[in-house]
Amino acid sequence: MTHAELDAWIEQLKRCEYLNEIEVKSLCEQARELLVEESNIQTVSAPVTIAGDIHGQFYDLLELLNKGGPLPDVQYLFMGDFVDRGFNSVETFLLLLTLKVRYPHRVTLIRGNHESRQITQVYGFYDECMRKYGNANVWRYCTEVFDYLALGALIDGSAFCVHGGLSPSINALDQIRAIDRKQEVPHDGAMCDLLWSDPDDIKGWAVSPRGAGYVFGGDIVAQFNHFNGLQLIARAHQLVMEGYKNMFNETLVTVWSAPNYCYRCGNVAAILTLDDKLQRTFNVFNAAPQDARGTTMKRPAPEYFL
Amino acid sequence: MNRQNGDAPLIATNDDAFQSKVSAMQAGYFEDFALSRMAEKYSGLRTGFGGFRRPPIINRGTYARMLLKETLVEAFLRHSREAGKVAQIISLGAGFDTHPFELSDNAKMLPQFHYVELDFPQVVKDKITLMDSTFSGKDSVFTACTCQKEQSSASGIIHRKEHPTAENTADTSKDQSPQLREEASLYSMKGVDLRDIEELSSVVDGLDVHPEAPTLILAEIVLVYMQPQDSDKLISFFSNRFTGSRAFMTIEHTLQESEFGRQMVQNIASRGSPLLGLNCYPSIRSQEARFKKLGWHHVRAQSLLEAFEKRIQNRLALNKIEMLDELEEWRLIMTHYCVVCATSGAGGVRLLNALDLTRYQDVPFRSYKNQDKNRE
Amino acid sequence: MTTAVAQEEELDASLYPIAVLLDELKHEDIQLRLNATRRIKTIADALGPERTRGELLPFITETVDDEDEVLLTLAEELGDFLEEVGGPPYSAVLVQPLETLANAEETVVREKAVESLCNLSNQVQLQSEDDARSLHVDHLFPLAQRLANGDWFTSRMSACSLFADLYSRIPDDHTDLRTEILDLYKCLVHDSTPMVRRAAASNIGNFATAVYQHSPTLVCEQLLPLFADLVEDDQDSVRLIIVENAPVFAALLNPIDTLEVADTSMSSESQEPNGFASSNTPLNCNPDRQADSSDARPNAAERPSNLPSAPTGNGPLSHHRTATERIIDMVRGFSADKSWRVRYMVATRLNDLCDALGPEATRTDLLHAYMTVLQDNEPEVRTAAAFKVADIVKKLVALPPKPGSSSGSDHVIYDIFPNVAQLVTDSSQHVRAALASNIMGLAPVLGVEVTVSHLVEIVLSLLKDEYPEVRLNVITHLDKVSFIMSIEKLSSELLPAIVDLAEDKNWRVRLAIIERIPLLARQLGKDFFEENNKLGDLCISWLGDCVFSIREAAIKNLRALTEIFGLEWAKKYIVPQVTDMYDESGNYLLRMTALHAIGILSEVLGPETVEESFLPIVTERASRDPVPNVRFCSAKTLNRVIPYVREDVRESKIRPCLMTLVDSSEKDQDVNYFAQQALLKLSSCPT
Repeated sequence: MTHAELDAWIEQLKRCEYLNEIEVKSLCEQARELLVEESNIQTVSAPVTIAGDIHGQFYDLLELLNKGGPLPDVQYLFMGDFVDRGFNSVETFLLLLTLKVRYPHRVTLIRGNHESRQITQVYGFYDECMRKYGNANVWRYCTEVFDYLALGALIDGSAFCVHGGLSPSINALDQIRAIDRKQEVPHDGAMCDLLWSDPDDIKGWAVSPRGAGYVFGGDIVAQFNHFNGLQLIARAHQLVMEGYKNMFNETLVTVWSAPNYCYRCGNVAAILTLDDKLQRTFNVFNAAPQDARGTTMKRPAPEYFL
Repeated sequence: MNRQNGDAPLIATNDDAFQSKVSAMQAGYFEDFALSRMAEKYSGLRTGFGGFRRPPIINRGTYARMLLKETLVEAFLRHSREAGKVAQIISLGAGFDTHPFELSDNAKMLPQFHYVELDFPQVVKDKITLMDSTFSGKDSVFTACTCQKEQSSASGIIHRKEHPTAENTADTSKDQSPQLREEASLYSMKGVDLRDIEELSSVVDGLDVHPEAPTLILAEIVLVYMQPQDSDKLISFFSNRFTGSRAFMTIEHTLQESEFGRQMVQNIASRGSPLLGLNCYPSIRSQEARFKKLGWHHVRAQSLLEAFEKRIQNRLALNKIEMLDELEEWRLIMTHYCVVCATSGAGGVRLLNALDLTRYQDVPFRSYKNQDKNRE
Repeated sequence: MTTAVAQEEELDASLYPIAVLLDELKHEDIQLRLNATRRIKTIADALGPERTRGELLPFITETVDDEDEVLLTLAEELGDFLEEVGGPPYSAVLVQPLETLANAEETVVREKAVESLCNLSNQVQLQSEDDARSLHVDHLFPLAQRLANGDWFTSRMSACSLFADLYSRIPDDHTDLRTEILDLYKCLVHDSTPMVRRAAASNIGNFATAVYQHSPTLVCEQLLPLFADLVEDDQDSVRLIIVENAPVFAALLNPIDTLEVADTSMSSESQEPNGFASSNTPLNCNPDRQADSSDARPNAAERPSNLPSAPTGNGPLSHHRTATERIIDMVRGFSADKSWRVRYMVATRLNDLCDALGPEATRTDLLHAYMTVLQDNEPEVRTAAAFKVADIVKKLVALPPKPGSSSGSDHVIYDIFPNVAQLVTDSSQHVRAALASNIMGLAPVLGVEVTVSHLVEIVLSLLKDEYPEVRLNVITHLDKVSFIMSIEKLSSELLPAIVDLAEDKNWRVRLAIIERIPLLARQLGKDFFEENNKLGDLCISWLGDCVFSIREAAIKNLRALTEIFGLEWAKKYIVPQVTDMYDESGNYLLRMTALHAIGILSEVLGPETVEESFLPIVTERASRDPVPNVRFCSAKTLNRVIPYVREDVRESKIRPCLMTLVDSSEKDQDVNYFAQQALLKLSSCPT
């Protein structure tokens, strides 16, 4: 696959036109070849711009890129949950994946709890693939890629990025490196926890009301950061109305990048840039205005209790 | 101008609610014989119907909404047992609700009641069509409703559902025909435009209801679609029309002056069914004040989330039915609905007390397949 | 495999695709069915005209597909199928299949079927007079009858859109059929189904045009009363369509009236006192109709005009309500219609009505109607009216002078301006935004004097609007009026407004204002962009905006300003600022932005400046930056700069630098890649 061909796909996808089944297959194969070489914790150098959940909100992803700057000039790290919930999971994931293949060193994709066969069948990605392709092949190719995504990233040895949070069965980053990640997200255990856990103002560990992963307190974060020589844990996974939320004396931050989540929540979104000196800058953004969204597709109204 | 056309989006809110209930049922939150049978016939009633499936957050919220309404209705009925009169329920904008047919379970120890449903004539007509398919035939071990039907009104009897005893469940239940009991309850449906208070008044006059009997008025996401002056009239009409122990229960959206609320107002307006009441009554407190102002002496108003968490202790168990991927979103949507219970008349304070949800924490909801599942 | 079998297979092969296509026409899979339907011409060509008529058409029509998409394709294909069935003599065989489709439930299918029928009629007409006569008289007319009398409203709707075409094609010796078509149309105008009445209403313009070609007076006699009935329809959706069609219809009546005026002025003695014309005028031709329409419009003759300048009671027309006047009355009625959608349509179509009804109507009744919609209760209507301010004012100013009446400009000043001034404080931001985007169009029409005396105040208020879009709209349109910037009062207010928008928290507002800076710069001149002037500072500060799109636009803006103000200006106010921005100790994004700016500005600055001020930054600093993104951006920048520096510099400075970036010591693949790209450019760039 030449750069020119990939660039043509990127242009096409940026118009929110998805690739055909054969193209997706070839893209996914190339992506898998790249991803299989990556460590469970991918090493990244600053400067880098970190994004949280996208959830198929394609036009808001374009808004994010407008705000943060184009690839490859700006290096991006997406912390998972690319698909489900929004109207354009297919286009969103394919664009990110094509960018990854085109600029492997400028794009890092890590796995979120929605990058899973089970969850995508409940939350929309599977249905969208069926609707757009008439069969489940594209969904299958994409979910195979999910299994290869890294579980976390480490920026200049000092900022750890993960979709959900920490796990009681993990003290050292090396324990994460030892996980066999090439599988469906399990229902429990370290890999599940990394993708499902949440921080909260508690002490120690607690059961998560989500039914998967754990809730962990500031003391746990302090221990973990100290033990691994970290300044910061950056994670996504939880809707934050203000787009980002610092916790525990700025040793942990939640970044949320889906503005007006599900076209319903009214929240703003954010991306976090760590510059070459690891200085943090949050860039807050709103949902793309109506006229920046494709007008051809009539989308269903967001759901409520009526 | 043409009211019929203008009301189509309002009528569609019933369809949405019905579909959501079917979706929640199919997800496994509860069982409902009538609902499942009506669902089978439903797709023939509406063209362009896209299937029942709803996302988990809507399923759980729909379950919460039904659970709370049904808990409060049953609490009211149980409380009214001692009055020795037939308790009355008037459900405004009832849509395709199936709760009346679930109420006949004798295990619930409910008194005789008269369940009245009012809605747009079109909705009543459609519901009769759907019910015909549900209650014909012999599968009425469950419940039976014999209806006298006209275009947009119907009335009949709901027979008491015999609760099979532990010994006979396994073998003979199939052959049992429902036993008619003396205390069979009444059921009526009537088409009416709730915004027309004179029409409503004459419809209520024509019903077999008694002003002094214990009466519960239900308005489940109905008032908010009306101009506040119309819904206010409605609320005070019922506080004057009935003189006995009486309650008004409503669930509806609340703005809470938040971004989520503003987005909700926009989104729902774009469906053609704007939330007309929200400007006037934007908060839970303002709802409380409203009912007090309109003749209901004792009022309790709370968010749907608060009410739900009072009612259900073991919420983790719900994850076994369907997992929610995002709890903040759940909190958001559930805090933008409120449940208002208002009482008046003799014993109003006691009645409001009886409607305290914390009293029903351990009462199972309907059947209880999922409870079994959870025990496994 | 034996030879015989092989031969047989070969024989079949010629028929095989057709057999497959025929199968696929009825295939279960809709996609296959659709593809096959798209290719029925291929099938027909293979079968020949005879079998196409005898087998293919019956095959296609025997079972009607239930997929609208297939039906639509079929309807479209059959519209261009004349040759396939054997040409004009056989045109009639296509009528029946298209009739079926014209009865379909789905609107687009029906519309396409009718369109195809009209196509067919047109093709036959062009090729053979005789065949056309037979097609229209013996087939399409009965078809129109059947459709118009159909039980299902969909067929009656199709009939409405067929009439105009058919009417104009009926040969002159069959005027009875024309009369009958008119009668059918009449029935559908009074159909009980609103959908049908809507279809009738939306076709009144083209039907009237067809009737007009044969008999202009019939339009007055027969269609005007129907028009009046539709105007009174109780469905707002019907009235809406009538307003939309009013300009076309009215345009037909104007010339008829001119004829009538000559006619009635001769016979004015015989006019009846009720104000309606006597029996030789068109409106009295049908006594029943006359009774109907005077009942329907009791106020038409009685209502006094609210405008002092209305021509009631003077002039030769006062005894005679011409068709045009009746239309005018209807328009005025519409502007007070109880449905806002109708009033909205009036606001959007008023301009066309002015053209259709002429200057007299514009001066009086239409002006009044316009003022009514300007003051409407619904913001949507006022918005639509505000969008038309400039158009209406143009019409007024162009009015021919008339003794005893105010001039067009007076109307603008005394009637329009007071109402427009109200809109400035309208409660709806959309109304104000519409006004702001339109009001500037008044200045060139009104000239300097009236602009200063009346318009500037309005513009100033809009410039201070709390809603950014309103301000933006004003600024966007300022540049279209050359003299407006020289109005001192305005230019002094303009700057703060621009500065305010430039700092708006919504980045799209900031972007919009940056994109307008070059246009403004041409009007405002250098002074505004020099030292200690806020505007110049802003242009530089946008380079540091937190939004990438703003930084990008800021660079383009600097390039445009360089082109406008020249090299010397740029050297003083841009170049040093950009080079200062490149600072290793600062944020890497600033270095990236500076590189980006260097790439773009090099295109306009000339080789000396580029080589002297910019190139060292790229080759000596950026290419050695610790951040790989900065290094490959230096390669990208060099790629851009190559054509704008002298050849010796390319070889002495750029090539060595790029060589270090493709060297094996450079590990980053993206740096290698972009340096390679630049080296390629270096080799291919003409000297």
